[in-house]
Amino acid sequence: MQSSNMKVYQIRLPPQPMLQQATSNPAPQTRVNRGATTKTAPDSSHIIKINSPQQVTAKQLKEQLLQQIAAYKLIVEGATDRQLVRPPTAKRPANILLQDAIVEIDSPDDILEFWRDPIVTHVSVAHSYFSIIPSVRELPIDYGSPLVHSLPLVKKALNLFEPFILRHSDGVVFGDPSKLPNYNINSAPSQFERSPNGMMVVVPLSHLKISYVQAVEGCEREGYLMKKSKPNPKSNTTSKKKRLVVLKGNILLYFKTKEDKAPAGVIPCEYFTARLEMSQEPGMKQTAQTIVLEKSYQGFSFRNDEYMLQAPEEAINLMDWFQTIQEKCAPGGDTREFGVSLKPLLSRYTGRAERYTNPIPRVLDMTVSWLDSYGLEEEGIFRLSGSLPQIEYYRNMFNKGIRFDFGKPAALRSEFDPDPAIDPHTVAGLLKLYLRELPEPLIPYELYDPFINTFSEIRESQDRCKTTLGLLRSMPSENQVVLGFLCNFLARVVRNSEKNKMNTSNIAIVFGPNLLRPKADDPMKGITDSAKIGDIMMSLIEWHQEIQDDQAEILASMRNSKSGVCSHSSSLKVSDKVDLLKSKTFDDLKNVASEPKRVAAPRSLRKSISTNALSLDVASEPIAPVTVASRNPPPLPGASQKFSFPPSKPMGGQSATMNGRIPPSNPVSSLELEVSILKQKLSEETKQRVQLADQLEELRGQFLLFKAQFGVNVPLVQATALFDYEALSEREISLKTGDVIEVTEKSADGWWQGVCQRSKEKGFFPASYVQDK
Amino acid sequence: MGCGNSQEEVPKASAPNLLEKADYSESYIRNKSVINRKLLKVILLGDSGVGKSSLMNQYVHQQFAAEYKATIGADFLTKHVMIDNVPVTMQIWDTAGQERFQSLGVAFYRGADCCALVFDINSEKSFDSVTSWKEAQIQNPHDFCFVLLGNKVDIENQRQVLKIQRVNPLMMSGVQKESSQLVSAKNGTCVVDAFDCLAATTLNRDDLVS
Repeated sequence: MQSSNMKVYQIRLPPQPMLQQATSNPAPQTRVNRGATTKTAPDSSHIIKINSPQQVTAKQLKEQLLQQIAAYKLIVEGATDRQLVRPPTAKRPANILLQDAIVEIDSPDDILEFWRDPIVTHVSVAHSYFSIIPSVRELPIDYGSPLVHSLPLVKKALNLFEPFILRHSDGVVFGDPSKLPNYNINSAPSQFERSPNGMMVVVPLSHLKISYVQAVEGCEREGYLMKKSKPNPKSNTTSKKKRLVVLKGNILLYFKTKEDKAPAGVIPCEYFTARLEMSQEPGMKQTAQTIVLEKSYQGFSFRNDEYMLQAPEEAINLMDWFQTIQEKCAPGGDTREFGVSLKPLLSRYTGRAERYTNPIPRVLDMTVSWLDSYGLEEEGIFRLSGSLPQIEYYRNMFNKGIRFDFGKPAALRSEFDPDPAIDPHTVAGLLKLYLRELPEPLIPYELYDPFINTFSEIRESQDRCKTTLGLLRSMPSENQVVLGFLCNFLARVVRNSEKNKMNTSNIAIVFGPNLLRPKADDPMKGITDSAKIGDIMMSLIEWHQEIQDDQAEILASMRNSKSGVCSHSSSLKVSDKVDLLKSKTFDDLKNVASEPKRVAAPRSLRKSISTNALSLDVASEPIAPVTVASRNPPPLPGASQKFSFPPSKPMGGQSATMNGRIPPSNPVSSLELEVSILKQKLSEETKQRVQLADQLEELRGQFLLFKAQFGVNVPLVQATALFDYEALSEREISLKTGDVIEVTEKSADGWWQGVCQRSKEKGFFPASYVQDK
Repeated sequence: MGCGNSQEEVPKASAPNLLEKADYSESYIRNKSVINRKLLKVILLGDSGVGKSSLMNQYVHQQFAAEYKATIGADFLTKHVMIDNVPVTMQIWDTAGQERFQSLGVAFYRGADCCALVFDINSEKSFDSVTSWKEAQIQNPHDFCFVLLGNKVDIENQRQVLKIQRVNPLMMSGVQKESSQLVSAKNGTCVVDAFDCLAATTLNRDDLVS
């Protein structure tokens, strides 16, 4: 015997009834002991020593072992690179028999399991399920069946402390992961499983016995969060516990106290999807944000399928937490598009860096832009129904979060197009279905009666319009934006009514009930009111410009919040702020108008205006509405005028004198807000239009300078002139077709600012005369 | 069919001296005892744009409006006719074909005796959705008499749905095959015939049931 090659294992046998192996069986199989008889062990030591020799097959080993057990003496000659592993049972974890270790065994079956017929397979271990780096580490293991039993071995042998994946060769039985305590093992049928190669995802959680202090070191984020449990089905109550949550790598650990030596629980993020839910809880002033982590794949089995995290105090915004966690999580989350309220849907968009610049639901965005290209001239668009199976198909595509493009209509599709042809009525049907499936119609239930009443009581068109705009403004801001977007689009459809035969009344009839419906289940109410709903819809389409004007401000404030100026404050808060400012400035501006000498703008505004010594003498500058109208750039044929804001009188030249006068403490956001408020004002107080526009331009100029001064990026965009334009004032620039203009400022009123490359002139020009590059 | 010539219900309809048909004149039918008169509620179902309103207008008013107009909610017209010497008031319900009304259900269709499923023979899609109209709407299909009307037979050159006889068996059970017809609301082809036929079938069926 060569002691250097020997591993000695000691196994303590149970003292009482002991197995005696029938020596007559020369080829023992795993189940051979079943027929064994037991008797009281005569030897009091009960210890078997196994010396594992170098070159001996598992089969030989097993035979020897069995003989040793029979003889209460185990001597194995030679050594093996295999380790002795005791499989786990429901009561205790698996363990690897260390050299010289003494292990209690309950039954000889335990030992027999160590020596299964070996199948050597290559197991590659990858760190992440979703980014599998093949053979990060590879080892041939000798595992038995089921594979689950070899996991402790793999883990120890590779010293794995992270979730890992086993990929193994064909014909492997996974076994039941739930039989392994202290392991979070998930056998996932993956795309590999259909091939001869299988895959097993292992999340060894038991090793994560690190203390809070250790965990915090180098962690990405930590802090107190409320961990909310799922509602108890019996008592229908939820419990909330305050926990110290640490995000370390891809794992979220939570502790009870800072002194904890081990986490109370762990959440392996990459097997979960994250979504942010907004809810208004009773007794709470603000909407509560909840980060919901949901098991991403049905095949996994974790102790908890869902975790909910909330802010410990009302005021704390979870957006940062959410974004960091979501980066670690599996892609997807709640991918549904249909049947989700706008708020959570849009918060999902903004939580993720996507191409959305406007908070328009993806379905609407895609269907509208498709219909703009191919559907506007289709006869009976929105009236005729699309193919139901196709609509259902695309609905599922959207809901599964699959990225796709609509194909072209059959007539335009070439055979090389990858996407299948699609009927315009199907796309239109999807749009209508989306609106119908919103949990609450786009015009909320609470506004249904006010709307109906407005239209049955108020006869005078202008009053109606005013009341309607007021009602619309009381909707949540995202609803307003989406509604404005839709009305604008429907107006484009109606503009083509010669071809598509859908005039305003037709569109209103078929579209109205998708946007406005009574809450009561009584369908007759919907029918009896349907004429009125049609009326309302017609008006909304006719007033789309007014609605758009009204909303320019909301859009602006939403953009601000997204660009991080008002970092992470929810859109609700922004709009509140706007309302507050609006009501204030409204009155102030009225004062400005009526008493020209008393400048009473809000503080920040007042500053800029007074330093400017800007004359606000209304009387001295009478405005002829005709001139204002003539300044409108003529709308281009076919080009949709996105903003109907009356072009303001540009004041480009003066802004240079403002340099350095703005106090640095003046936040960008308030300036932007004021810009938007001024815009809002403009549309309402037509008499003061031009004066106010001057102020607005001043502010805009200041804002630009301010931006430049403090290093805020002003994205430079180039545009090409489509038509000649003759400057009407010194502040404007003349354009020749084909000129390239460096656009420095795009404003919603239709007048952009920029530098003409040809003439090097700087100034304002009508946006509709140019095309973005 | 028993009813040869039915007349429109216009209150001031000055019936010229129709000697032979006097028995079936408007006033005659009206003045028949109310007890004897049967009310037949017919609903027209089908995709939007297949011509339900046009069919109804053609039947009741013998008019066809080329105007392209979507129906608001629902509408109905009545017409007094003689079917097999029985005075019958046909109450024809025209419905809006928008998908949103598919959820209307019983409230609207309660009390209907007959359901005419209308499709456009030039649109296979409208034919395909006939089944879903039938199934989505009617909770107790056995209470109804279904007929199938293929409209727009005047523009046959674009025809997509072939012979009604051929497609009928593919359809569903419960549709009165013999009273299903191809019609044209534009030039009136078979419209009167189809409605009379529908009424007769329904009455016969009711008689059998009772």
